[in-house]
Amino acid sequence: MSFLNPQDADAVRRRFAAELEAPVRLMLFLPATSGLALPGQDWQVSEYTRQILREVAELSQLVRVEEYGLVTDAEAAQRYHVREVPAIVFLGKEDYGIRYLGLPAGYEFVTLLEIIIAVSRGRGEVSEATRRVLAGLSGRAHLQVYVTPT
Amino acid sequence: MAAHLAVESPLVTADIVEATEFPELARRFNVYAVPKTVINETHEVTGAVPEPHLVAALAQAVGAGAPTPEGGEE
Repeated sequence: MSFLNPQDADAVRRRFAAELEAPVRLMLFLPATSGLALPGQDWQVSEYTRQILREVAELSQLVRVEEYGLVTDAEAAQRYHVREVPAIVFLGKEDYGIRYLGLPAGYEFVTLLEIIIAVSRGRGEVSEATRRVLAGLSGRAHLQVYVTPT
Repeated sequence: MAAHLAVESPLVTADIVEATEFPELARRFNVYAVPKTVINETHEVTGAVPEPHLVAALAQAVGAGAPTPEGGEE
């Protein structure tokens, strides 16, 4: 089963072709790899997330998916501050500290695309006023944005 | 929006969290409506607010001497 119908896939392909600039790595952390699911964890959500990312990565040579197990790749999980799964770590020219926890489906599929594009370009779509505020920050800000797919 | 801020500033990191799949986190931060943005675990913004509103809340959270968050490359 495909998540993206041919029309949507084509639209994403064209958007990626027009807007992506540098390679993006999507590090997908799962409960486990090689189909070994841990008891008590929602494997289906992770499996759907894996399928969506694989389909998205097929739409541009600049997007690559790497799969990691939270337990089997504990060192990577620790390095990228991943404690919950499924989690997507977005890496462009650097790690901008952006993580997506859960299944990026429904309305949040657009969020997924926007993050990939922003990370690829190494710049966000913000106003000059926002840039001035960010430049003047005196400490760190960690944002958690809670969303649902509908 | 949060991801755009994170790309723009090395001091900003962003987790987008699917609330229904992480109910413990959602409960911990009293998420009853989405989107809800929690900043440094001390400040919050509910709803899809305009960019200046979110940025003002962010600046206020940082200015309030909130705890240093984790996330991003060390």
